[in-house]
Amino acid sequence: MRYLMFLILGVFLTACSPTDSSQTDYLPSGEKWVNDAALHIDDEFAPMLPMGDGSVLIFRRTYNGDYETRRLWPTGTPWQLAETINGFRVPYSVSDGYSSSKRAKYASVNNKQGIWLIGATIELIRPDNSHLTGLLRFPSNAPQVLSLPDDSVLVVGGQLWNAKNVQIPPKYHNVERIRLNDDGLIVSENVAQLPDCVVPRCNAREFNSPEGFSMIHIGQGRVLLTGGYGNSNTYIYDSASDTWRESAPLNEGRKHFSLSLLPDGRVLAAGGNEQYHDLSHRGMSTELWDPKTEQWAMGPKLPVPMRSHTAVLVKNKTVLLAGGRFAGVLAWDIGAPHWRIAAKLAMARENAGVVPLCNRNLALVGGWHARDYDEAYGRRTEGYSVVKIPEGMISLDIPAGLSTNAAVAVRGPQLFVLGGMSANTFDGGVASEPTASVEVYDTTRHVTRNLPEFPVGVQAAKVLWLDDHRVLVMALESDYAISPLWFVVVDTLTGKQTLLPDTLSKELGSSRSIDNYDRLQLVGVHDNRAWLIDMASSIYWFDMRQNIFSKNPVRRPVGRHDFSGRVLDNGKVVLAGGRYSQMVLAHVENCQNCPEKYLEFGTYLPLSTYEFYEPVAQKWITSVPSMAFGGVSAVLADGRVAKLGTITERLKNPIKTNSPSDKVSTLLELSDIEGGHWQSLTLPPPLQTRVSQDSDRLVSVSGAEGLLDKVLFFGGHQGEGQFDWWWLDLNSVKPVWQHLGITQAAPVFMPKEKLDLKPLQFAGHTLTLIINKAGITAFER
Amino acid sequence: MNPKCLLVFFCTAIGLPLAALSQDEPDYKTTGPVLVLPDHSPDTARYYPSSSEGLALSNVTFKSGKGWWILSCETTCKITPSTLTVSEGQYSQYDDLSYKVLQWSPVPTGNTLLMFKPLHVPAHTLKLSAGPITTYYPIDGDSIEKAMSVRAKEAELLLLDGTRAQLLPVLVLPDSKSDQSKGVISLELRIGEQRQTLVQGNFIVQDNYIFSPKEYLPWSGDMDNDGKLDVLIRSGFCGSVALFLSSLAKPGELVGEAGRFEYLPLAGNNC
Repeated sequence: MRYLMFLILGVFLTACSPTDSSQTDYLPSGEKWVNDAALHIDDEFAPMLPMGDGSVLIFRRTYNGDYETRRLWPTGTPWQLAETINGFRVPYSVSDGYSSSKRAKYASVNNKQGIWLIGATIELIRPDNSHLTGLLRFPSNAPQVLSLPDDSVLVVGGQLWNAKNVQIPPKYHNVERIRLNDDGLIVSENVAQLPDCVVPRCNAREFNSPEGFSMIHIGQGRVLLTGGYGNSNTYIYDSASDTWRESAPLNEGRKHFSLSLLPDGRVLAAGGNEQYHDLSHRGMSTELWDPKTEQWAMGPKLPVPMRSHTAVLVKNKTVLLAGGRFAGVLAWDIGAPHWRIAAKLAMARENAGVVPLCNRNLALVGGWHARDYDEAYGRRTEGYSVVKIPEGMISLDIPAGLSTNAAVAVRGPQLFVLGGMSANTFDGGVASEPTASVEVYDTTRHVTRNLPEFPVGVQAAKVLWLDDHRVLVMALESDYAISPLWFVVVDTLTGKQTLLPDTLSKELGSSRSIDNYDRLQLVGVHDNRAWLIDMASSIYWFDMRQNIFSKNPVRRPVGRHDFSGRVLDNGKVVLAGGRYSQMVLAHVENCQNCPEKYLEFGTYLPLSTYEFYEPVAQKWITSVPSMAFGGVSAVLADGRVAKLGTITERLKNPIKTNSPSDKVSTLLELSDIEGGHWQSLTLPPPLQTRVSQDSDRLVSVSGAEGLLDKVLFFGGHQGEGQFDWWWLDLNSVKPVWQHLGITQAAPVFMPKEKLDLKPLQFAGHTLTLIINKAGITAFER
Repeated sequence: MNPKCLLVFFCTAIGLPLAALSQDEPDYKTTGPVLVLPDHSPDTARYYPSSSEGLALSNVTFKSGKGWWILSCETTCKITPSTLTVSEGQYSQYDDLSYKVLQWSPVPTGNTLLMFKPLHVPAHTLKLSAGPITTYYPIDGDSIEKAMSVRAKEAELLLLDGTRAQLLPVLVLPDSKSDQSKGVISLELRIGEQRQTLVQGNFIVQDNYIFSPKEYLPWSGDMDNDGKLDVLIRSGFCGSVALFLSSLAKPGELVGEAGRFEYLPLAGNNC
């Protein structure tokens, strides 16, 4: 509902953050969340209005249908009732498709004349608390408003209110200008109209929401208006001469975005860019308008999509984007090459009231967040939150990517977090959008460093630490774009990203990057060489010194789909699990120049063996077969393989001797290091009453400085992406399965995997486990 | 598979009326300058031609006589000269349907892989005695997989100069855009830069499963004592085999087809 964009200067107050109360929650990210039902931040009929003194006005409907304003102070005293607007009831209209429960939506703005509420009527609350009423020439539902230097208010857009019998003059493009005249009456002047019908649905009679254009005062009574419904049109209104003229368009169409006037006169447009068929950049671009040339140039990219937010300029140095779809605050120090994620919220507060406080605190009041997959429309986020905005590229929060399905990898105390899909069910759709954030979380100091954003939004990624400061990233831009995979080496010390040429996609054979992404795993590193293993049996090396890929001529004995792999410290490479795919050399008849390549052939069969590469002998060795057939596998740090297979016994039917039956049971086996022997282990509790299935998970852990090297994790699939996790300490004299907890995967159509964090007490240490599709990453926190 | 089993299998598998049976008799074809007869079912128990059953084939025009050789393998392989005796047999279940019983003598010990007789080969081109190339034969305890590197069901065979020949299942695609379903599996021999397709037609595939070398390559070695590779490979369904000898290679070839036996059973018989 809110499409007002503010330019607010921070002010200093005596109090900066909420006083503690029983309703205050302190979240791990540093967010202070105040949720008091008495606050009544609900039933708003107009956007909240920050007053510039650390308070915000909330315009709401009361329990008995009356309308009131409440003034909320996010610090100190929770709230105070500001004013009841006597005799004012927000109208509704059945004829326009409204019901009594759907009230008209007003715009709100504050200037020297008082507080204006503009829409189906005009209500002006004067500084002395008196109340005036007026009407637009053509009353409008949810217009956008902007106060001009002469205290008139420019009113643009919105849907015509009660327009059934109204005669709209030709070329009326939803622009009015209202003021308080010398007689103290509210009047609407006959002003110039926009040259074109660019505000969506001008003259439209149907009830609908505006489509998110933005306007901002750029000095000397001039207004810049741009965007809306993905448009890029830009117009400038000169209030002195009452004229509109066209200016250079945005580079990208935008809606529900922000405009900020920078101290040097440039205008920043941020977020809200809509490329419907290209998710890689959607919502993540910015542009800068130059007042001298009146041209837009692309600005630094956002690390996450942002829309329906508010932009705040702090101390003329930093632009904050907050109260939007992203559950956090983005910050740009003007002139810096990159944006950063400055704060993280537990829940999004889209269209929240954004109130700067002192000491770099920021309050976000009300707002909405995406609901679950099976509920189409947004849900109110209760109460308000206060976050601290740190300086520099450090935030005091846990990484933003941990609340999406980011790719993670841990090395020592550093957790690398890349991308992730943000959920967007707020508007009824189920689309989720890729993000481009790159963060490094120091698990001992509890701070996150923002690194420069990834070149594109990342739908999914696989990441591998090459050494103490470099990470190899293989990223999927979009699953339906015929685009190459992104191979990038990220230097976590400097943030520098080295883009590697994608020479592997041709080798992997599919023209669809998602197919190639799925088949290639980053298995591990040894001796300055990273192992990338294809499920069809090909092996590729990445030379860490020269930054080049090469194909290992030694092929494995078999290909494996969905294998588990590990490179051990001694250079041994172990591959286990998955399903066996035969391979066959293929060539094209009568084609001299067509290269030969190995293709997968036939059906996939389960395996009872695993193979490992002996670095000294430089050959692959196949283990002895396990007793049980097939099943999920995990490779431990010492090279032992755990496998959950099935055994089928044919049982005689004592009555119908010609009709034997099969009894299928599960066996958990653990190999020795040389692959010459298997021993049986006790089954985890969920499997004591059922047979294992392919959707169960058996996982070994990376990270935690070797603490969990001999711990095996089992996730029993309970349906709908829910897993019941257990763990087994193989170091124990008599290992016993212990319960870890239940994790949920996001349901169908939501981001494919949501990261689950579970605490684990182990050997006197408190560990945090990140459980995702790639496995379990652990660190001590 | 002994003839009795073959007989019973036909009866239970088909249930055809006798009149139809006589029109659908199993057929065979043997081609090439060397007449070859295989062990009848390479994936089950070996046939011992010394048994009283003999090898039973319908529509057979073999004659008794000398000049046969038997390739057999135990811990090692050998070729042994032998004599064929042909006699009549009668199906007990069917009227007016006879078969020929082929029996050899002597029959060496071990597993018989092949009975063959050079017919139209010039005498000087075929000197049958074991040559120096390493013999491969997939028996327990000396599995062919140990001797060869198994890559996508590929076999590597050691040659005299220390290099290796490769025997590869190859999927031949009609064009670069076709997927595997449009291709045909062939078996290709490669030595150095030279290549030769030996057989084509998905014979080494069953239920989407490509046979392993021990299944499609019952034997390789040097039978004609010329220091070059000879191979016996599966060439069709139901025990069909093809013998390739290096001494019969034409210019541009690595080996020449000495003889091929194709066995086409009654309809519905999956061998």
